[in-house]
Amino acid sequence: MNGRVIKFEGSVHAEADRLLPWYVNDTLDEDERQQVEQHLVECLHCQQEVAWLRNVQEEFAAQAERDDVSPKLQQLHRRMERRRRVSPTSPVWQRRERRLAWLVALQAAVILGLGLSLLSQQHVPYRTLSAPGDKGALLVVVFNAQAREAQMRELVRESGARIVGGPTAQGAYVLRVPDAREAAARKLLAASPQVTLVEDLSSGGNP
Amino acid sequence: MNTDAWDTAMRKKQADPAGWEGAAKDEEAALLGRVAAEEKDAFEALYRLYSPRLQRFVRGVTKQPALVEEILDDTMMVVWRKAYTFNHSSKVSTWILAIAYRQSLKALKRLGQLHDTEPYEPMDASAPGPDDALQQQEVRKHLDDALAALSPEQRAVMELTYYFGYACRDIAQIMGCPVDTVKTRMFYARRKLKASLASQREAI
Repeated sequence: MNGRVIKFEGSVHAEADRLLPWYVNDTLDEDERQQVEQHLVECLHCQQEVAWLRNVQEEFAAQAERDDVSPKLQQLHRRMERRRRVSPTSPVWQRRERRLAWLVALQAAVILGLGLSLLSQQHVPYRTLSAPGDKGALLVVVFNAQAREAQMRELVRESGARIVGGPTAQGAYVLRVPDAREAAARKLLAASPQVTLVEDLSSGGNP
Repeated sequence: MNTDAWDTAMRKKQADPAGWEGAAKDEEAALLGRVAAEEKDAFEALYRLYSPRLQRFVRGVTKQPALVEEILDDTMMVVWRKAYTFNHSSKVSTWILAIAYRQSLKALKRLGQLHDTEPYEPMDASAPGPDDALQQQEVRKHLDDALAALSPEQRAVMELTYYFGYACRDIAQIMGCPVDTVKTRMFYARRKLKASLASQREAI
């Protein structure tokens, strides 16, 4: 862009003033932050400016909380799914196709899980005493189609799990949970309305 | 101004700015690496991860809701094609936002809504300041309308600073301009925003 650039050197006030927006969002370097704080003590104008900028930031934060993007996400997902489908099919075939796809997804998850456990067996000749290692139960989880990304993230975090595979075409994820937390994680996930299926891969697919 | 609500909001933002830094940077870079290897599942995961933030950013920069989906698709297509060029010198998020920013300006240009040069703006465009309570109310009610008075570049700086919580140098990287240009755009954006809020106040 060819916009005019204002040079800010020369005035302590101007120098501090240009930094205020990032003082308010707390991303200044330590030096810059100290410079702004020293000036703020003696400058009423900048104090008022900080107060105003905080109002602005607060409103942006409120917007972030109000932003509910789930309907749009779902709409996008439907578009992506439509693109993936090769040809239009009858409802009967679609039902059969869904069942088949579901079986394929499960099978793929099992293969992925087995592959991962095989890989971990092959690649861990050395492990420090303090490192927890990459062991744990593998769970296949399918989230409700209405579940929002934030809810999914929260559930994964609460259950102490990590996503190690997925999503498959049908939305199945493979989670790894430390052995000690496996039962609790499975209970938590199964009880959540956002989860439609939880299966333990490590124990041969027991729900 | 330092209310409890504000402190809570700030703590939340610092811990997880707009849900942005939640996923580990390394994981995002690994995901992008898999996109570079043309793994469609990875692309889908990246799409899910980024589309809410990109929608917000594109909407904020363009103020054209009808363009958002098209720009989002164009952005993700560039990500798909150019993932192999990501060289880890920046964060994945700034790399993708930079693409979204360029696609937004491109779309506005197609519509004839973007000028090649930013208009000259007088330095003394600051508006008289009302008292604190009034400020807070008018910001809450009229921020969206007031942002519409800004240029796309100025709106991008505001969004990246206050919605996404980026530092000035990250914003310079996203917008492909010097840090001083970011500061200048913010300088004008603040003044124009105040003037716009003041004019709405007078209109009431």
